[in-house]
Amino acid sequence: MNSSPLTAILEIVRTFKAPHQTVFDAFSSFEVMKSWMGPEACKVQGGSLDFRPGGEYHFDMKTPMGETTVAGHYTEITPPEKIAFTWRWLDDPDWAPVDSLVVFEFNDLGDLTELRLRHTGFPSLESRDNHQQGWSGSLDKLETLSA
Amino acid sequence: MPPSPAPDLDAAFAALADPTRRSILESLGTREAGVTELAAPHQMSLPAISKHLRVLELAGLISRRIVGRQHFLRVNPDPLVLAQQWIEHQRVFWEGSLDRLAEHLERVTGTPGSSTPSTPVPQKTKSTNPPQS
Repeated sequence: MNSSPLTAILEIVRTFKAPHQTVFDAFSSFEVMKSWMGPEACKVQGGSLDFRPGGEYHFDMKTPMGETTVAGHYTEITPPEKIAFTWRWLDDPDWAPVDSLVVFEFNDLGDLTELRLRHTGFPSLESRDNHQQGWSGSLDKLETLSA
Repeated sequence: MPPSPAPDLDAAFAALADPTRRSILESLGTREAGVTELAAPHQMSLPAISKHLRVLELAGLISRRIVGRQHFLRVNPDPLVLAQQWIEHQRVFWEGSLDRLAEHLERVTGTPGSSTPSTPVPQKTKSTNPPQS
């Protein structure tokens, strides 16, 4: 049996040498997010964000594989601790059906700020709460079985 | 970064959203089983279990082998691998974004080296897809 797990959960932790509020502020305006959103090969060409709970955002991205838009709305904004938003690729027919949720948490470490990213993919946000355990558990088990 | 094609992903997610169907997949495991055998632990009628099996089959999560009048089902993990690939594409996107966020923070604070390398989170996040049999 292969013990490596398979699950639709992504977690990334980074520590930045910048004050807590400064790191949080990098998420609060479109102009600033535009300057860092996307890997080097991707560029934000346009978009907007309404930085408040329930507010919507979208980023028009130019990528090596073409142009696409990612969009969603903020489900939680707790300055300067936490930001959560839905995330969906709109123009890619293969991936557009996937709803997902992105959560950023900002932890004050004095001169440093720890940033924790958690990105989860689900068939729909409505089913997320009901099925989170089973979804991850099933994937873990099936991956083991498939090895 | 738009991830690469994954035509069955929507159906796979939808099929997996149902607890009965997840239970069927789990009870199938690595073996092949008949419809009657699968129905027994779920206390379901054959038509009801057949309907769930059909959804799983259309999503590409199971494959069916027919011998005479008997149908045998087996787990096909490919769509699950695609789901994992989706997350891995997101990883590439976010890792690259956070590199650039670090550069932005350096500009704002005037402090060089404002980011430590990404910290691998030990559980459930490594990208290796399972070997396919």
